[in-house]
Amino acid sequence: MSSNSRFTMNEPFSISSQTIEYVKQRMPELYASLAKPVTPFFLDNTLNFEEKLAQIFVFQYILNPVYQKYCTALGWSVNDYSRCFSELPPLLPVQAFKDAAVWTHDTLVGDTEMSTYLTHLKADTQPLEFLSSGTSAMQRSRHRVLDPTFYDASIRASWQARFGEDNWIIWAYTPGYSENPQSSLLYMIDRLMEWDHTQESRYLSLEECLPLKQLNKLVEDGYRVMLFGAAFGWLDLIERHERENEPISLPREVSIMETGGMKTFRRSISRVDLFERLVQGFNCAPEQLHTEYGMTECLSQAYTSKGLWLESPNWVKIVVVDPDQPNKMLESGQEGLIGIVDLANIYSCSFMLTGDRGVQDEEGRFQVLGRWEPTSLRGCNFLMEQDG
Amino acid sequence: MDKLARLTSHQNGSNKVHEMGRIWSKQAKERALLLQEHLIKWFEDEQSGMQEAVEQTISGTEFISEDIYFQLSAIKSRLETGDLVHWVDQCTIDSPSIDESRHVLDTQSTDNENKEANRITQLKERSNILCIHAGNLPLVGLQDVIAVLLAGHCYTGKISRKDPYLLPSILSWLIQFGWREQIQYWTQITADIPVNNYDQVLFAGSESSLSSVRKTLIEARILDEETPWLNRIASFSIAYCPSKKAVIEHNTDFMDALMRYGGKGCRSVGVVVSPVGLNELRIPLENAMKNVLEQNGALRQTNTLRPQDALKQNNFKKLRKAETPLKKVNKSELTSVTYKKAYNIAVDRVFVGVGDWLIEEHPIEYVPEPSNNRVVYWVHANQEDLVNLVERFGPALQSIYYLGSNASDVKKPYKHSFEIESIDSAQRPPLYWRPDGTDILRYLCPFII
Repeated sequence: MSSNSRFTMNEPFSISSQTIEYVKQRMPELYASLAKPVTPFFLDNTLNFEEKLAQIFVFQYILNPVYQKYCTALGWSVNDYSRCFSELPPLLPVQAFKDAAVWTHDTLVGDTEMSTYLTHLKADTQPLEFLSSGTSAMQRSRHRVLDPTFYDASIRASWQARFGEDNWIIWAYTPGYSENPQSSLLYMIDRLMEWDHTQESRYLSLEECLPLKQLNKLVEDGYRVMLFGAAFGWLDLIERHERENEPISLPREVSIMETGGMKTFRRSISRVDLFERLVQGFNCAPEQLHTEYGMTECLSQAYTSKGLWLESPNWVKIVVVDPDQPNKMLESGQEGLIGIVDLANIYSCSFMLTGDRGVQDEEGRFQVLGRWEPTSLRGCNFLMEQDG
Repeated sequence: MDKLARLTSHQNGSNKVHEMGRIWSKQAKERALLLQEHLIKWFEDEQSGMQEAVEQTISGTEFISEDIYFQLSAIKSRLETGDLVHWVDQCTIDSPSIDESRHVLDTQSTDNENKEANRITQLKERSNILCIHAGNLPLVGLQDVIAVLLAGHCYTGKISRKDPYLLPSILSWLIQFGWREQIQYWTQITADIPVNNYDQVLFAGSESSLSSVRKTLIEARILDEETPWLNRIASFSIAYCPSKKAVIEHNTDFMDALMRYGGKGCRSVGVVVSPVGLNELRIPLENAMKNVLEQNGALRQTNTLRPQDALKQNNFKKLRKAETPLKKVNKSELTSVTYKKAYNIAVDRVFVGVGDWLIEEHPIEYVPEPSNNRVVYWVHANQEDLVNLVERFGPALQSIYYLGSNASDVKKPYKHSFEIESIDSAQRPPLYWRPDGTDILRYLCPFII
């Protein structure tokens, strides 16, 4: 892990002892979990999802100034603990991770009780800081992960929930994490590689063909392999194999994980078209293709479970909301903005509104359909009129 | 061929072109005078159909009466000042039809150069021009119609469903005055556009909407792959505000530039650059925005005049009350602005919010391209920083305005580009204004070079 990703602990944030008492009463399990972490709070099965959500809402309302101001402006107060059981707390636009410091602030200066919340962080762990992709001239999302063990736990549990407890060898057609310590995706891939007990996991050169002999050898030896890469990286790889007259026939034990990047500066492709090309190019079954949906601002991932439908782990709730009224959840089948409640984001913000357009099915699975285009546009962008 | 013969041939060619230009200029001027007369009659003659078209537009479209009358008044006054003849005159001055610095990417491509060369060769007098009109503000397509008629070409129009009454009313009126030969057909239905060997398509819209519409027309065999398209994609303008005093002095024009047509026109201001921070201007801006919204609300209750009278008096306080219930009270939009305000509070962003309008202060490094029509970005920066912004926004930017008596005080962002315009011209531009830097009349008449 590079030292670039570390930073010194943040500014003190003072709260009253009265508030502390309130917190202890309202969220005893979270209080206990943060003070003496054994199982991360979001994985704790003694509380149901809504109970955990309500406690985290109070915690973040009190300790995350950005979220507190957002909620207050929308008429929510710290006393709205019970309101969380009947409606969704305000979803903070993820743009906030670009515009402000969206994380809980350490306590406390003069109050030993409250400081126990976060003392273990100072002793045992070093925070991470992830940035969204982009150039230095671009405004990038900044996500400080005050306790990386939560991210590690979320990565592992998300993976196991989808792919089971079997050992997977990870090959990644991505830049290495050591050169890109600000990438949350590469951190995730790095952890998955670290947990592979065969030590066969590795990064592959973006300029080279897939080492098919080695891959087949791993399969012959009984291993399962997951290939990670971005959408256009896979298409480029297929073209390279075609150019070099080295056709791919992907063994059934090998799967492909597409990590996004459907639209770049020069190219864009729909997910349906991409999957068609991948099935042809890799000569594989559609079941061997997977998609990972994650973002810098979010510590949990969703994976495709059936075709193009994504499924999130049980500590994450995906909602599709009305873009004009983000507190209003839409029925399944209706397109809207994707909102995420990720309980793993304990020290930042668990309630997020993405800029992605999506749709949900009746079982709660979802699809990402691209970026949401606002309807109140400037200029002559009104020509997509339907004649019907 | 020896040198003398080549020179003579070149001179003959030049003379021929010059003669062609001279003839075109004379004929175009005659057309301009006639068109000016007929259009002004449309505004003034009680039997012209304007009144009915205005009433239908008020009751049957999203446009509000204030904006409709403002647009009609602006167009009429520009006709009366002789814009059409002036447009023809300035066309004969040898200047490029397209502002090259705005089309760097296009001209760098050899393929595009070849296409443009073909277009210039093929576009003769009396070409068939298909206009696909935008409908984001009332009568926004009229400029293209005028350009086609002045050029001497034949017009076919796809009328916007969002503005379906005003332009057809004008077209029907003109036909009665002898323009039938040039005005061939118009329709709201894409599938009804006749196949007519179009030499050129004029379009305004996003790149994504262009490819969709183009595909539809090609699939319907209305056009072929080779038909040249002129697309205009600019979506907003910038204003430079030098001082607090300027905001107060140019209050009305500034508010028009921001809020007229709900901020939807590409000439509407989406970004303000000023050495004065938004906080310092909070009160005058809030008051000015409140005035506009209150006035609009009051107007809806008090207008009693007929359209012609309202236009004659050019007094929006006396406009006729719309016959249908009030529009534009979009509850979801109001909720949406509540969320935007809450977000600005959360990230400690300075903003001014009045009704469903927001002005937000953004750092120059990160100010995004404005997309939402009721959100304006304020950039606390000086004149020199305009250059960076103009380069960054590229083809999305239409115009740059100055709040002050002398627009020439502002340094041009870079050569060949953007004339700095006075803020009072933002919503009352001359009829020969250049969408995306393109003089459409000049563009349609490459044969007069």
